[in-house]
Amino acid sequence: MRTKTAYIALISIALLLLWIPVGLDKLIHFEVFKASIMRQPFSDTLGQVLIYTLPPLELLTAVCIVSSRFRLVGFGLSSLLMAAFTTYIGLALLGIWEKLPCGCGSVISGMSWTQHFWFNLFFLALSILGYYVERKLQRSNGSRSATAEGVSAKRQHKNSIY
Amino acid sequence: MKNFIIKHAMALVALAIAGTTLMSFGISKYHSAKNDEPIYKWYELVETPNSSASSQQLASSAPLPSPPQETHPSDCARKDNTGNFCAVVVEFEPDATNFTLSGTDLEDAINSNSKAVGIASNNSDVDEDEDGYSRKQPQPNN
Repeated sequence: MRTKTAYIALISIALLLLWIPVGLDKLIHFEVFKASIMRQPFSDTLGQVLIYTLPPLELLTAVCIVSSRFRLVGFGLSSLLMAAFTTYIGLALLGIWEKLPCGCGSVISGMSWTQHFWFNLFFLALSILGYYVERKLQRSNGSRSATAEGVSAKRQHKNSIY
Repeated sequence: MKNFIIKHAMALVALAIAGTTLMSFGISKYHSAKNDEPIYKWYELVETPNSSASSQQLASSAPLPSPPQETHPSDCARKDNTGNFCAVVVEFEPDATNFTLSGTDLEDAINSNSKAVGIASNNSDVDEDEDGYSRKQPQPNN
């Protein structure tokens, strides 16, 4: 139980170290981010959607991870975003597109596509691991509190009888 | 106080990360007040008469320390030059820091670097004839 909580804390910090700088970078350097998205090999409509949804989604992921109540949602969002990015880079490495300029921020911008792929894969694995450990933790907490509630209800029942 | 820190540890960590990030953006902006110009780097090519980037090979993955000579027909020259392709100038995005190019050919090497825009063929300051290449006459075989 304690080990799982420690794992969750470590995974959360690692993911916060990823999503907060990346999300803030996109917001602060919005014009650069917008230009790089518009250079990507997909339609302008999809580009516009991504421009206005990606930064809030990344920051929302960080906010969810911070809140213990929404941490599971945070890990889920993190897994989904990372899965999408990793698939996109994977396809780029397979040569689906002729040229793929990077639309990423902060530390990631200096990486080659292969390094970027492994980096994303690592964080994807971390997000999925976080999701499963958090879910287990929440379930065990749920059953524990249910047991505790059961005991107190019994006690109350006893007290009302005697 | 102690209880507050323990209870809100993750939020405090997030605040610290956000603060550090914003501070680092401020510092980097201060250091590079004007960093919106593309970066140009010259690379030595294995001499070839082939004009296609997919048939050209880089002699080294690292850029040349200085651009090729302005005019010198027997050297790899940037101006009034003919013959084999011997060097190429590549444009990078303004925030590029990694200028290593590696791949099966020049085209692949440019595509593999996420900050490489392409062969710079539109700037007379870096290449007077604006073809993105330096060329030189092949040496006759003895």
